[in-house]
Amino acid sequence: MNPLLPALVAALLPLVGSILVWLVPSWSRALAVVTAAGVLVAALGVVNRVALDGAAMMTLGGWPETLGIGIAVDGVGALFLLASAVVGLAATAYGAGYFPARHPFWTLWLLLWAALNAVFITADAFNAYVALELAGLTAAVLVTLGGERDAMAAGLRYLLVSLVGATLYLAGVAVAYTATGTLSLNALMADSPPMMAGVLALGGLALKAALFPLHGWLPPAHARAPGPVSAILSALVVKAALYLAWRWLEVAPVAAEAFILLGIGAVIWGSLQALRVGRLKAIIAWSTVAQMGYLAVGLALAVEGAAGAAMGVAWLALTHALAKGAAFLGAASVVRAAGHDRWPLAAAHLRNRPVLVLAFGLAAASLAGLPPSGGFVAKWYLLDAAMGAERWLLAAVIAGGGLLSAAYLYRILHPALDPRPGAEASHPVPPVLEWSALGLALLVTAFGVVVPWARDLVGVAA
Amino acid sequence: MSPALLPPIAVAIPLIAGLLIFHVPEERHGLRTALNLGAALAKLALVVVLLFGVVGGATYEAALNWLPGRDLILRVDALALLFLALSSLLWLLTTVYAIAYLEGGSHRSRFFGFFSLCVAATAGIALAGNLLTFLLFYELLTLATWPLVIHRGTAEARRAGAVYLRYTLSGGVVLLAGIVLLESVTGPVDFAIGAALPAQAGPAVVIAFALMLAGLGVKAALVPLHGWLPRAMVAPAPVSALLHAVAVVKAGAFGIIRLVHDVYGPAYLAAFGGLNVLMGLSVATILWGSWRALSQDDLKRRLAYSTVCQVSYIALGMAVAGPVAVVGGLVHLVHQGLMKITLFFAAGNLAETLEVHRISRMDGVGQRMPLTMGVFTVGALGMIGVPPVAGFVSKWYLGAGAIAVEHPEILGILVLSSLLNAAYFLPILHRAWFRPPRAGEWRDHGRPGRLETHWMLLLPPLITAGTALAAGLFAGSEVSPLSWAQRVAEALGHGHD
Repeated sequence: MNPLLPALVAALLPLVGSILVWLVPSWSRALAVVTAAGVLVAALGVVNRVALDGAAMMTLGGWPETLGIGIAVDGVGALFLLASAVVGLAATAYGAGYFPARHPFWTLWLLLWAALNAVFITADAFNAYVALELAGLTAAVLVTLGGERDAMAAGLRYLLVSLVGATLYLAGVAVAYTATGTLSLNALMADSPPMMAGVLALGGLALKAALFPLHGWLPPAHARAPGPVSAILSALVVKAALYLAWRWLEVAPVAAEAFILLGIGAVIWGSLQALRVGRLKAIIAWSTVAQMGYLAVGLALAVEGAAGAAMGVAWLALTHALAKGAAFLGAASVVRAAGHDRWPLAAAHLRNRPVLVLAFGLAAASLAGLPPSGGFVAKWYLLDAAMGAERWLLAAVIAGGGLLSAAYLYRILHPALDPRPGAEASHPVPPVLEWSALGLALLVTAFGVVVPWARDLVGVAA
Repeated sequence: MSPALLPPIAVAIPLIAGLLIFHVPEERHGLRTALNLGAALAKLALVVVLLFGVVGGATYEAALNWLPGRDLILRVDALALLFLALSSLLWLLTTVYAIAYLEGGSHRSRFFGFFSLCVAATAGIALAGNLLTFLLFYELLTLATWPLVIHRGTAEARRAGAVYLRYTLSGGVVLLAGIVLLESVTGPVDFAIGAALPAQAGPAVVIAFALMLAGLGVKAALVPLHGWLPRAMVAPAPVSALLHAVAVVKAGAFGIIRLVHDVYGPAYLAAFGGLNVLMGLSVATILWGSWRALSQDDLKRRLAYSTVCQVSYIALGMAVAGPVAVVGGLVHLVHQGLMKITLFFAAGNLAETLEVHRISRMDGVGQRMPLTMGVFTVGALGMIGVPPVAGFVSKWYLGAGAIAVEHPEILGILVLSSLLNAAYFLPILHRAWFRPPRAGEWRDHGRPGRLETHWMLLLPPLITAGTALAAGLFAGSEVSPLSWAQRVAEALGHGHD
């Protein structure tokens, strides 16, 4: 069996699901859960086939490869798809306990999910644009679902940024196409289009991936979005832009050094802000800004050919998605219990909720790169790659950055272990909300031990 | 059962026990106790099996392929068993003690759960067969001990926890950087083989040594990286025992032994001055720790500074090198553990029974609690190095070893440090035994007509003190820690040079 078949299923299933949910809204939760399970099976199928048979690509509808609707999967794409499937399932399960059946969340989320998965399997630059645009639009609407004034403002800003980013990207694609006559990402890599194309496309993607200093839109959008939406945004949506940035860095490797500089800036600035802000979801959102910095540094190392960096950055993307998903789902449960997320005031609601504390603890260990967690494996690979390439400054950033993460994550865990009872009344939190957060956290811990299969997978991509 | 499974089982017993204990409801005291003691006894039994096996020449090793070319290895060798046996025995005793100590306290399932996780991490450190595995468990130990340090939840305890994390997490990162740097030169480092070092030590190899030593030095409380240890004494007495004797500082010292012998080899380190650096650091630590201990009035704080000093004897033995001094350092790993845990148990008894925390309030306390102060006296005399307590044997070997490799100045350091030890321990003994009690100094929670305190608080220190005495008295016997340390030193000698 070809890996492209399950890959197509992973992208089309949520699309079908979103239409069905729109048609039969009273069944939306059951439909979404079934869809999510199907996407997970499809993603596992992709991982399995790529591991066995290697990467594959094809074009649909009889277009020539230079123009056509190409789809391709390789080891890296399969890992991103896996992250999307797992976090998507957890977010769907969470949503089933969080949103009522007749809620616009269901259609929008499944549509967004289809767009994300399309990004991870696309082989050509224009389809990527379409999927990215669709993801940006649906994500912006999802941010505003809470309906508060702040959320509306954050969503509108997010929408504008998304449009600007996508337009820049489209301009880059247009320049590249004019110069080379192809839209296939693979062909572009060989043809080396004018530098302008890479600068425009990567600029647009950096904006959408919230790479420092273009990150200003992210913290309000991710912090104000309703419960599970934050998890989806932070874990997956920024990863779509990141994934494309990886592809485009291979087209225009000159930009790698810029990504390193901006990445270092992101690590420092994002962490400092996460140490400062006074709301739980804002801490986690700023953590995403910092972590996107690591990913940018890792991408640059991988593109420059440092040994092991590709594995490190792919693993970091996967584990960050899981850990960040767990953290935001946990935070959403705190908001459910407390009615707000002012920190450390709301921490009192974590007491006597060991499932949530454990979820936060395991997610934090991975984000800080401490064993036993997937984050540690990623850090190990990246550090090894940086030292192997004799990039000592980068090695210091990668090693020391974990301490910065630990410092702001300590702000989350420390008050949670304070034994003094809180003053506020706690609302009940349905078990499915707590357990979907813990599920992701346990998985990211398991990914610190069960690694060998993935190494072969990313080897396929190289 | 395949012998390769035994090392993973040694880690799994406390790990699974810990995970189960987390789920025990707070009021199910009996179930929790059964799990605790059952696991501790099972692990001890396993250690006995392993001891016999290793004496009989068996090898136990389990490997899990983890990253490309990098396995996780758990292996039983003589050195691993030295540490594993110590931590297993002391785990059992500390558990008995902690059950009585925390009676009626809150969050006991959380406490014992993390306690077991700490022991699991310690077993992993002892059995780690390569640098990567060591690092993994070393970091786990940090994470598992933090909730114990802040167990009381007071502002002071949480501040101490923050300091502890700041030190140990930074240490972990530095250790990680050192390991990756070294392995970028030599490839993966297996303790059984040692690092494939270049003939001439280049800057990367030297810097990697400095980084790893610094990372290990944090937990081993080498000056100037010791600041967390005296602060962490706010934790309950069983946790202090864990930090000072069973696990944490021992993990650092044990790592230094591995680093010197099973990664670099003493001859290689001596060639680029690495041993001299270690010697300078350990001498400074011994003197500074003793000096600071003199001025502490808080009993546990004084004991903490004493640990700073005593643990450095282990590093000193490695730095002096030579077969005799190495035996002294190795055996002190066990001896210091036995004596220091006795002292902390005794200090805990005073705090628990009489609410005595300060040395200035200990006048005449020996009349009220003769057994407690009796074991305290044994531990203190051992720390000073008075024969026949075990500490004397360590110091004897360290001193003789230093002479043997022509480092007579180390003998001077040992004498000076013993004088300082006497200067901060003897006044305590004098107060406790020879001064009359002052009215109103204590708040006595004991029950008249019974034992001086709960029997489960008395039995563990009696056993550890007795063992420390026996380890000194019968040092020449085949089953003494000394004989085992000699066996370890022999095995280490074969690996290198």
